[in-house]
Amino acid sequence: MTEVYVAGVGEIPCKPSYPQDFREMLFKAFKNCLEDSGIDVSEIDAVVASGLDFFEGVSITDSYTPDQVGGRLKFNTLVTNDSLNAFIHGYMLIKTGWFKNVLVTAYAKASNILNYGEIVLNTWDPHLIRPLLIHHFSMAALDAQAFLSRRRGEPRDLSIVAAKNIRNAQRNSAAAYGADTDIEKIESDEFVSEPLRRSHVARLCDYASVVLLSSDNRSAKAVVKGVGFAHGSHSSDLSERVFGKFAWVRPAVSQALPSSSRRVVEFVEVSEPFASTELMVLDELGVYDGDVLKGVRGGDFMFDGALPINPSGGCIGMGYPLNAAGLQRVVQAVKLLRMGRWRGCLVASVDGEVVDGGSIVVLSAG
Amino acid sequence: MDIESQYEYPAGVALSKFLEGLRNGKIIASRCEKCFSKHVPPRAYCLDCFKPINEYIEVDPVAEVQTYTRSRLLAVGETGEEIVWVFVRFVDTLGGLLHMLDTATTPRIGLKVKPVFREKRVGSIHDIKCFTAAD
Repeated sequence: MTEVYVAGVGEIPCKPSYPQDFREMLFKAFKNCLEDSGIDVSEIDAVVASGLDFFEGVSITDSYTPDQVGGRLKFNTLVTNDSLNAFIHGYMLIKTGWFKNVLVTAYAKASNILNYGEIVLNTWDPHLIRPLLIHHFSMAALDAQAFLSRRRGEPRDLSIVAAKNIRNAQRNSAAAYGADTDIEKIESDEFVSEPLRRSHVARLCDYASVVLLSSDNRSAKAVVKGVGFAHGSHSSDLSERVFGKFAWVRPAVSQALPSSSRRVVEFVEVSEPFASTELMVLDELGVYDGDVLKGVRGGDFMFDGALPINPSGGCIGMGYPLNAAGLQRVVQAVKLLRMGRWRGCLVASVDGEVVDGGSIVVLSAG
Repeated sequence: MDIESQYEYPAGVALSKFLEGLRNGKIIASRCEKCFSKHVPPRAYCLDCFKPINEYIEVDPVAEVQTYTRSRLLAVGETGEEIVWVFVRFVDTLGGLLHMLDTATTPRIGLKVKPVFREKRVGSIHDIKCFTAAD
């Protein structure tokens, strides 16, 4: 069976705004990836782009991706929703045996979007939800409230997560929002939608990243050990939603990693548009032995803890790059594995800010 | 340059029954003839049996709060007033509805609520003004 390796990663740092357009941003990330992999552009067989036309304000977004990443006259495809889906798509292309080197690209130009709240509102049913004009922070807060109630948590638990990630981001030169904050400072923030405070919400950012997947282990930086995706209990009118629980996580992690192998996970990178997202994913993953809320209070998920969660700073510390969040996590995971401190990790990414669906990838050091 | 994207969404058979019910001040559910489960808002098919559904019935308007939040934000900007959002599930039914709770009621998970209908109704989700405590 063909193994799939991460041959190189490239990114440009998260920033609230870039003056460059998305092609220029992607080109820089692509050049960084090529340099990292040592592979020539002529050796790239295919490009899998992640994109969402609504976020970019451009129809058929993928038509504008290939030029700046060496994809002209080669196999190209666009995978919608979160970019971890695009990563998994690239992985499967290599598994077919038809492709040797596949480039996965993602970017966010959130600073272009002038009415993000309305764009997200379009996620939901036009008859039952959209007319109510609910903000997506409130939608996430409904989840957070139900989760804390079900698991007997406290809103303060969300502040512990946010403080951890903002502090972790100080170590990461690609992070936009790292700071020397503390739990009390975050607890004094206003509520944007109870129980979510301002710092429990990841701020949007501009970002681009490129990952080269290969069947050749010559320049392997990491090995892809497993992938999984599942849709949870989500419907656009919310009537199927089980608030406070991510139903997608268990089936996805079962595909990616047999339960007997969960010890290989030495840290987790999870996209967390909200602090509650991190806890809700972790609660279902089954990679932490013990109660997740006790773990967060006891410091087990800190950078030096028993199971570091988002040692990169996550989206709260780095910035939330919309659908690029999944690939952002992959790039951070590979960078962290290359530090030599950890041998294996799990990457999880939700399929949108308030969607019960998502992907999981397991990586080991190359 | 701004290009407005304009769409017109038909509600479909099942949801039309629901919206028609709201216009008449009623909560309408679909009922599966195989497993007898009732769903609000109504479905044209059973999500468990995958049988087509042809039966639509009025249900008790009392519902239970599954979760809630308070906020002054709307998708279109900040509102001056605090809004209490609730997701409610009607008694003996599956599914549920997102709406607002009247601000005089203190929200909590498990609270029994009922819809407050507007006097003038047109067959939309706004025919429910808000939910309020059922007792």
